[in-house]
Amino acid sequence: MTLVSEQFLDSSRCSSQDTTNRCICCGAPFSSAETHCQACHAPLDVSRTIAQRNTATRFVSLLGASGAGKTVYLGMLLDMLSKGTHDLQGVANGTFSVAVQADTVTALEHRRFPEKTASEADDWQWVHCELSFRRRRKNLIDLVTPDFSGEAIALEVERPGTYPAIRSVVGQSQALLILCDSIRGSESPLEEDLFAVKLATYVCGLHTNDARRRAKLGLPVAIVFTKCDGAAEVRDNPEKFAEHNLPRTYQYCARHLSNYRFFGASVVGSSATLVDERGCRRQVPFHVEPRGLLEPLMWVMNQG
Amino acid sequence: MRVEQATFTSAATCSHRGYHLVGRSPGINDQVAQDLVRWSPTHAALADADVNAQSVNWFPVSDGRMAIARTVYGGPEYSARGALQIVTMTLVLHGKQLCDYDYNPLHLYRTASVLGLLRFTSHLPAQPTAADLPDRHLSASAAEQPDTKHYQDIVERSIQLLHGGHRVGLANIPDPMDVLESLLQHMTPTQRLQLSFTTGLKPSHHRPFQLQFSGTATAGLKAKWAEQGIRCIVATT
Repeated sequence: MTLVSEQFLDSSRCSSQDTTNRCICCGAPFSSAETHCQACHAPLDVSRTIAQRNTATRFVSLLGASGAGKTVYLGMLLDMLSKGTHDLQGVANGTFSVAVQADTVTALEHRRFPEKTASEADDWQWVHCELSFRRRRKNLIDLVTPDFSGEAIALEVERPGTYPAIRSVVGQSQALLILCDSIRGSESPLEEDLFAVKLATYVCGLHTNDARRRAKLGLPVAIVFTKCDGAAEVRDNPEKFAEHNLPRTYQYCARHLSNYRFFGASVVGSSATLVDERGCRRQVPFHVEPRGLLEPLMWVMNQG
Repeated sequence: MRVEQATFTSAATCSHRGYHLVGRSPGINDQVAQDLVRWSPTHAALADADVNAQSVNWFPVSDGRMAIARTVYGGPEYSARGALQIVTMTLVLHGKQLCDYDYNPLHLYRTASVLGLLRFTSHLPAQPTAADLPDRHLSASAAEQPDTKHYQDIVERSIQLLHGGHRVGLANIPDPMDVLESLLQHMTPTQRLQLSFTTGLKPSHHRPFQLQFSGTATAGLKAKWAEQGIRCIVATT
């Protein structure tokens, strides 16, 4: 075996002295040749795309435990926004923004759910979407939201600072969507309840300071119960479901948040579990029937 | 020689769901645990999709300790998304404990493997205990030593780059352990302890290994290595 070739493109240590570019996520400077932020590992395509536009950027964080349905929710939401079938419509900026939508829709078309999101920050998909209301065409908002891994969120909540990208984005967020698995909320509610409380506590910790610690947080927070296809009671009255099944979260929100609401959402009409020859279980969606996906986003946008 | 053990994989346990440290022996403190979480791979991180693929990883952790890990595919991932879990079994020890192992992580790896450590089992203990290794490594016989003469130019160039402080990626290497053996023989004990490597994980900003191997040389891999400032050396037969 002999050495054939040696290839090197020093894209991460470019000699360019241009440090006026700043990562939209953490504010660290980056050079023109870099692809990922050295500090938080966020893809710099997002920062470059946003820098070219002259509109206000709103971070909206989508948080939830592993398996809550963040990727599916976000992918289908983007697909619906891009079709503009409701009052709210959205246009993706940058090819990276289409990846979540494409992966989710393609997977569902092939009767499967998208793959698990890896915990490595450089594998996360980011979305940058230009949103507007049909009737109010001037109301343009650039929405930025990364598809975080649930495990990374859990680790960051436990040990703040483990994932700088999560901390930065959540800290800058002007609205939050917290996804809770309604099936787990029904079958093992304690675990779901405790995680949601930890998440809410983490968010409040980032958005309040000592002077305002006693005041309720005014940040719009939509708590979305996912996978409601099998639980009509969640869809019909998500607040009641929260009160009965996630009482700690319910009480925490009432005590610490002044602008929150519960929602129920689902993407598939029904699904089943298949087991392959290796023993791998796979949830198979029978058909796509999105419900309640847009309402939480419309609500947070209407909160100003 | 006593070494600590830990396992990182995707599971639904009482404390967590998804990829996390599912078990660690008592000698692994929170800081070391956090380092292990950082360096351990998660979903689809093995470069080879073959179910028998594995990766041997060597990296530094806190308190002046080092970790040798073996990453393999395990059973079905619990979340019913059809994938196999990635399981990483790790041994943690102080660098000075390797003095009778020639400070060679591969000697440690081979000895541990022969004794049944770093082996995937379907029932992962929630709290593994520390393990005992012999004071000296179990050395391979001369007949088992790989013939590394034909890797010589790759090894020399890699050593040169590593000594210059560069990160190195070796592509088109079907037997990374053989090349690694030869590389380590050209290093001093201090250099071996300061080296970090992986034989089979995908590149990631989270895991800044100084030395990485790949069995292929795709354009995508080279682009990823270039993004991370890794010098790519492509080999051929």
